[in-house]
Amino acid sequence: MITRDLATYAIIKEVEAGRGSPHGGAYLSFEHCSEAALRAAFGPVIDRLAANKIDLTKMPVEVAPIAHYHMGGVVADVRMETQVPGLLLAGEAVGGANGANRLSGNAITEALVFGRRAGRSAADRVRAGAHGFRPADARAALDLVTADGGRRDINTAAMIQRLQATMADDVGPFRTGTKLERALKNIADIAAALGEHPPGDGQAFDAQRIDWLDLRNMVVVARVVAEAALRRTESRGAHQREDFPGMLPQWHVNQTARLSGGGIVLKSAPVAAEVAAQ
Amino acid sequence: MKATLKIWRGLDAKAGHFETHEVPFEPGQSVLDGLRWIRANRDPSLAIRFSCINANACKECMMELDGETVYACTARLEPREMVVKPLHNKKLVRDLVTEIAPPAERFKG
Repeated sequence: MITRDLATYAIIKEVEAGRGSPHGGAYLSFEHCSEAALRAAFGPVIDRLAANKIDLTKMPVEVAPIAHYHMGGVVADVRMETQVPGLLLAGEAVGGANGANRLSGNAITEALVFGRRAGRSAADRVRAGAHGFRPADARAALDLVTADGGRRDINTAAMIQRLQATMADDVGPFRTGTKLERALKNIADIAAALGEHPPGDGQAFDAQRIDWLDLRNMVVVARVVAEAALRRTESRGAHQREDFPGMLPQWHVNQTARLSGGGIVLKSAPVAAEVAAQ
Repeated sequence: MKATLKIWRGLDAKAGHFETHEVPFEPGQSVLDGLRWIRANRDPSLAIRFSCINANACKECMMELDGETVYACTARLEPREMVVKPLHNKKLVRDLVTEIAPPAERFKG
């Protein structure tokens, strides 16, 4: 079995060459395996597939690589505290825990270890009366949740799909400067279309309002990912630049991003594990 | 081929109405796929709740399909009219969304 990044590369290149499966992936075949061997390997999944009229011993299935993990995240200290008072992290939201690539299985450890630490920090904060929440600080966000926006003129669900397609197509595992620039243009267009005033009526579970609030954060995260990928002119781990193949010693750093006056400021920082080892 | 989804909508359990949408159909699609297609292509104001999309893990998309309680992500779309309603025995939030969180885990409004 080849490693995940190589399988991903092979599938993406076949699809680009027009040899993909109908939905833009490749076929995975287990037709050479016995039913007993498949049941031993996959257990109850075999029954789930059978319920959907899929028999792996008789037919191939379509597969495609998807984003299921991200190496980036929020900067936290060993207590899982961030620079936002009272915002604690656990699991995949923690940035930089895996370096440039992740070993399979680490995500569970991140959830358990960081979750326990964050839980202890939260308990310490409550005991000290320092939970950090001030209603006045939340006022602006709460006003956006409840405001009667009135407008229903933007299709927020379509905008989320467009942003997801942009990130999958142009900020996926194999990147180029051209694709990343195009993605940043698309992200800026989506951000501009969002505007400052939320759509919807502000009553219970207004789906467009929820999309709009999600999108405001999604476009910022998308920008950070694309801008950091554009700045890193090398290939390393899960970040592969087809226009800059190979690792460069000057990029043996972590990038951090900070919001500043509507812009995103990127900086390079020494790799934390090496700082700790000194 | 098309599937037709007849969907209950409203903010008040006693004063709702049905809206009907035709959606593209191909074998293997879920009812949730059809509902998401409607939101992205016809009416983004339709309230549905889901998280995992199709892993049968989050249980957020519970609703009634032709009178049966289902997860919309595992219920298969079929090329006929299907009637989709919120759970009748849970407090209505909006459209197909009902209050399903355990009482101790709910935010106090």
